[in-house]
Amino acid sequence: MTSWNETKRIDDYLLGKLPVNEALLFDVQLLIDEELEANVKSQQRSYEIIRQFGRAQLRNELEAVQQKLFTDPKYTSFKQKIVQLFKKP
Amino acid sequence: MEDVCSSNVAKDRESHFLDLYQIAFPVIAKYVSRMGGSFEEAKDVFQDAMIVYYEKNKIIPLLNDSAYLVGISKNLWLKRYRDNYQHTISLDKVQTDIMSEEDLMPVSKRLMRFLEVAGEKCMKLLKAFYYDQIPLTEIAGQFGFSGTRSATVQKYKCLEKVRETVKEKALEYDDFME
Repeated sequence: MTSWNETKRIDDYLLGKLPVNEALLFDVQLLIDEELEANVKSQQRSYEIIRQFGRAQLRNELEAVQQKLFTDPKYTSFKQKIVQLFKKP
Repeated sequence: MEDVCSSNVAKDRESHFLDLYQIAFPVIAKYVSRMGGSFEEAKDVFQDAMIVYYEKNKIIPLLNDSAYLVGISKNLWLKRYRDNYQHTISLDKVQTDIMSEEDLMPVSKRLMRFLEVAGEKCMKLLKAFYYDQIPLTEIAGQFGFSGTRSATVQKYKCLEKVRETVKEKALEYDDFME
């Protein structure tokens, strides 16, 4: 089995895509195979890291849009509307 | 900022976000200002609300959903700032019913940066697949793969690369702690 096949299998297992009998087999393997267990754990953390990365990129996109709205002359009236709201009386 | 997708797709996303901002942001800004909050606060909760929406629905909020978006924003603002600014909670820590279930384990910024540098292409491919949940055929096109098969193989190779980095880092950390 090439290594990416194992990665795929862990992926399917963690995302609940394995058929029941294969998932059971996987559970058994996890009990006896320490390396597999370690791989499953780090793969799980990898998903979390991917999510963090995705979130950071999305935040960049939003920040860029915000910048545009508050600097591009095209959106001056929008900007003024918002600035007005936060003006101290 | 770098474009994740082909310029076309990124442009679409941008113009959609621009529309959404113009419809929904004034509403939440008005609310926050009436409650005595600042522009920065309005901006933060609005962006976080968009992220919450995006992570739940895997699409950029629809214009029709701007009321829903305003609702999330208000909710976030109240949670964070109501008690005289006593506790500032970042989005990563906010437990809301609208957020996806899996809890985030704290991932250090250093680790993030390390991965961003070590395998940016891979991270972007994985992001497109797992975070944006873009269909595989589209991913194959955007990233210039010959087909879904090679995109799939590459995805797993990338995932493995990240996983091994996580493992190495975990080992280093253990060594360091001993």
